[in-house]
Amino acid sequence: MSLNPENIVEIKGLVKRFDDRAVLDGIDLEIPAGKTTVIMGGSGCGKSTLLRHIIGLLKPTEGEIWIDGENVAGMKEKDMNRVRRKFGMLFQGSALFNSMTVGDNVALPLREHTDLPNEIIRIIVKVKLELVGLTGFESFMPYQISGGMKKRVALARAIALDPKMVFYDEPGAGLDPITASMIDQLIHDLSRKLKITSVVVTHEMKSAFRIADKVVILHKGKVLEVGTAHEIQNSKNPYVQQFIKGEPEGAIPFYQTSDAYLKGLLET
Amino acid sequence: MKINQKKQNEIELFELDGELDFHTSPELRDKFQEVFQKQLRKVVVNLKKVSYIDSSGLATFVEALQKIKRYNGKLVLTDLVPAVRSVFEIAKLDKVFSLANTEVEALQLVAQ
Repeated sequence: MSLNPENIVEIKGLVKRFDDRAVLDGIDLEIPAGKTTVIMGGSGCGKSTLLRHIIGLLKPTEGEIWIDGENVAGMKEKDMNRVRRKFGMLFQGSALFNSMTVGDNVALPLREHTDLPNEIIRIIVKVKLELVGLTGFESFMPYQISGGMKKRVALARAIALDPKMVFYDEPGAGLDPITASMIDQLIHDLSRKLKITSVVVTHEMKSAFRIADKVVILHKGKVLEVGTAHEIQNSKNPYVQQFIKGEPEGAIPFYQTSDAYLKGLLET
Repeated sequence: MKINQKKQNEIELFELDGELDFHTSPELRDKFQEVFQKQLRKVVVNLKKVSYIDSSGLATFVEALQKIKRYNGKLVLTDLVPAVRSVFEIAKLDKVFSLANTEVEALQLVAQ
């Protein structure tokens, strides 16, 4: 298969079953290079599972995952590590090393993956921290800074190696609106100015529509709709409308029907 | 990465050709060591043929600027292609460095 050069990721027929339950049920998805793609969906729709497949933490039951021209679906860990160097990851909980200073956390990938001298690494760390608005915090320990600052340190670390692509897992979760908006601005700047591909998994609508070039809505392990923020906002699909408006009643039932409930209760 | 170094009057002129990244920036750093050791005061780097610069390339220039300023020298970068200029801009270093549009302008800036 040849990858469309405009896409940095192409996913074909991705299925993931845990026991008999299909969490991803035939996902086809294209992620354009240098753009921001936001993957949205309710809890349990499979968006985090999809992200874990793209970064190689989970192997699919079926299907192909092409990243920058290579199918990573059946890839060995050693090869996957080489592919992983092309991307950075911002974890939901920041995942900083508590025993290291902020500066050492950001420097870690540079020390692990390059032979750059310490003087140069120190400058890169300062530039990355300035990018996330944390100049002067190099010597702080993670426990001395707020959750929002930790997230920014984690972002500085995610971009330390100048990745082609950055994955963000719920980047605004647990942040105040100003910090969340600042992270959105950073994602936007990185994509526009440095042509970094951003893949953002979130269920925060405001943030998604602020940054997305492309929005993908997942529902029950399938791609429900793909479009620009404008197209999604004007979608006629009742599921999409219910989701983006956050309505408790609608096409997506919160509770099962009485019949299904009764059937479930009577099953042995 | 090709590095061409020449002297023009009292100005040290570097012309770079290629990508300035984790692999190639140490070579440029080595070349700059000579500039610092001799305390050369007027340095121009032409980036016309540099299509890509990463953080290590950026850091190499920052280190050079720090060291050259220490002995009151001048470093001017010129002819940055838009992709390279963007890297300086996003790191907010476009205001820290003297960036010229043409080599003639750079030579004037460094001679002042």
